[in-house]
Amino acid sequence: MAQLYNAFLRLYTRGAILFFDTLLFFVLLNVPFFIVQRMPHKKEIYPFIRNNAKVLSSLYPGMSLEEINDLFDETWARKSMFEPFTQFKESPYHGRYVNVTDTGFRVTKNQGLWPPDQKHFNVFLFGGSTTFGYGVPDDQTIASYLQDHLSKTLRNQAVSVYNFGRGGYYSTQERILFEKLIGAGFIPNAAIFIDGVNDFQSYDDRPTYSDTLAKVQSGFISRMRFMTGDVIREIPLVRFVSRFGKQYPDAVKIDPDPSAIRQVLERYIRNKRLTEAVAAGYAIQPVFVWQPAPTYHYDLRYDLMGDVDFGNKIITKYAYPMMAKIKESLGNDFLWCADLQTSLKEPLYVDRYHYSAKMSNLLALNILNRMKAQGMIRASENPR
Amino acid sequence: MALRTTWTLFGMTLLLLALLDFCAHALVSLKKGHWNNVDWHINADAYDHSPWARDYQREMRHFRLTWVPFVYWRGKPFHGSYINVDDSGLRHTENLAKPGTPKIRIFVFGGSVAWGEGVRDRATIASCLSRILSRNLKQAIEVTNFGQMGYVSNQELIALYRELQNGNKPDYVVFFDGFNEAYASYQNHAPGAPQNESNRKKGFELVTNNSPGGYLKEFFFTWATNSSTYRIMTWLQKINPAAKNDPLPAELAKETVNLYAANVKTIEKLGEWKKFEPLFYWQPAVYDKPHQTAYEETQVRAEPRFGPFYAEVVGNMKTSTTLTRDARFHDLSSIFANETQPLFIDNCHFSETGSEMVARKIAQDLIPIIAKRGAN
Repeated sequence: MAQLYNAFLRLYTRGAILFFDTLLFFVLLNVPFFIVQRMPHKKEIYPFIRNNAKVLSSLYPGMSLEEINDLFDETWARKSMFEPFTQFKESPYHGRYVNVTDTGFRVTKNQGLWPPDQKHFNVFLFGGSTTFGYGVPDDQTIASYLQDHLSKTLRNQAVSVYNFGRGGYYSTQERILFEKLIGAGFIPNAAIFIDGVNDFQSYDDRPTYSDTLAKVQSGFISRMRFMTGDVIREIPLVRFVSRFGKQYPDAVKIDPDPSAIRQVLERYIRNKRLTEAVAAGYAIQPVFVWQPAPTYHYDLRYDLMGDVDFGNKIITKYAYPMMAKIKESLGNDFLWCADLQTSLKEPLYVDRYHYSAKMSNLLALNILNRMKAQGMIRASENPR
Repeated sequence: MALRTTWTLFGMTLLLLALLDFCAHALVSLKKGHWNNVDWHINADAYDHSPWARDYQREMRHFRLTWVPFVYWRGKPFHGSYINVDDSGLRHTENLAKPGTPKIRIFVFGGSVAWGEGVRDRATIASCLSRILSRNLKQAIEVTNFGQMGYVSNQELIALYRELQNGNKPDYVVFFDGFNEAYASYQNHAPGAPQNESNRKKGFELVTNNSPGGYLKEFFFTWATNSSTYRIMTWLQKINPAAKNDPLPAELAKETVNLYAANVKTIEKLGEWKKFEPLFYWQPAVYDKPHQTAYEETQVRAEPRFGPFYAEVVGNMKTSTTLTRDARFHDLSSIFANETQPLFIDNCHFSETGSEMVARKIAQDLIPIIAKRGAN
């Protein structure tokens, strides 16, 4: 018995030493990689900006390449954060060009206070990253131009435009956000919904980060399994080795299936109707804007990117003509802006999809004109 | 030599910890009745040794949820003797066929009580309601049970929108809420969000922040908090690990009711537009039952901090002018006020008798409305 115990003890001791020594060796091996990966890197101008310096300078008059680089940095380096039901939102951010409040809206020129003053003419703007204004400073977003134009038009009443545009958002998320704001008692005079491009990215009505949240909510075993994978991927040595692997994902293969496109368009229309129902209940005047996309009625010869891979948003090339056929049936509160760029022979996008300041202003002017034509502004001169 | 001793001791410690957790796991399983493949609900006096209860609880243990965007979860398809969930994640409702007569479509929304936790398919509120209405009305009645585990009114509102978005239109919609509104607020220290929201927020931030240290920390935290040793420690401390221990915000109960009332209003507006008639019911909980049995008293004592908060929420509901002046809102919190018989299997789920009583009350309200309006 004593012999067996001694043999077990010897075996255990050897096993423990071998196991923990290997572990210690592995940890020590990772230390230099960890230090190198944590060292601050020298800030460089993005190749995209360097390669398109001339065009970008014309799109951003008065800004140096370094400043444009900082603007892009502030636009793209920010992270999303979790939000109940809509699943994510833009994180609060305070930069030179991009500012997002704790409430989750981007700061607009002459931004009104939150909660909105009911004596003001309050406008909530919903949409994706183009509405947020990815690639333009706070004072050159659609919301900021709309704030300017409305203030000039409504001389007897203060105007407050709130930019609830959020990267990746599409009609279903916007409707939910709109309902949440109303449920919390924030009722604007008008609500503008700018959509078109992102609806086709969320083909199956699953917003960005759905897979992440599904993982988070999974049971203990599957959660531990995915976290184990994540922990391994983040080990400094593994990160170093994986740099030599495939850098870019394969190009997205898109099948422009008309029935799938029709489903997305139907979903948009149903969302529009439901939003109208809630808006009518609270005497809010909605405008639904179908946004311009570089894949439709835009001369790509003038585009920064040229005829490049539009990823899964290429579907807009097939979907927009289908939408154009039914646009007349969508009511007076529907504003077709997809043709806005037809006759313009100049770059209007600062990257693949996001609008330049000029394009943002054009959209704001069109929205203003529709609000005027619908009597929304005149009708709302009396404060709530 | 020192390293050899360190490693040996370190390994021994780890082995002892694993052994300790194994023993704790055995204790947890024993307490929860997992060795018999059933859980503690089987001890509820409301079951009164029903022959089906044990098999029901066995089925319940195998029922799972699956991720759904916006509302977070729905039931996974399940096929048992007493619990059946279809491919859409909806609990089976027994509807009587009346061929050749016009059909009235009724949606029932709510949390696990509406889903029917603790009762068989035939005895959910939805099934009882369908049966009573079918007996009393000439039309064919089709009740669909949209109740889901843990749902709060915000989730139900979104779920209803999703149905309307897909062209699935009801004639009448019954909302059965209250307990989860209060519980989620109590857990999150804020009204409106679903239960366990902090876990989703933490997990989302962990994945999107992509921090190696964060992953490692979370890995060990998840492992530790799911260990049986941790569970036993929380039992010993008599705390609910899901609920925060710091004081609740002063206005939380009021805000919880205000948010619920705002959702009621939004659904009513939607109903006016989409031509359906909504009815809202505030559910009873064990805290509302004056004559509790010994078993029911243990359920009240199980979460001593929640009871007073729940009472505060109910108090605010009873004095909310928005709700009390609304003819579509019905307070059923006192429906079991005169009952001395055992009804609750935990602090919110009740027996088949309770289900029948609630359905009868809802039917009393619905029958004259349907008789007058018919299908919309």
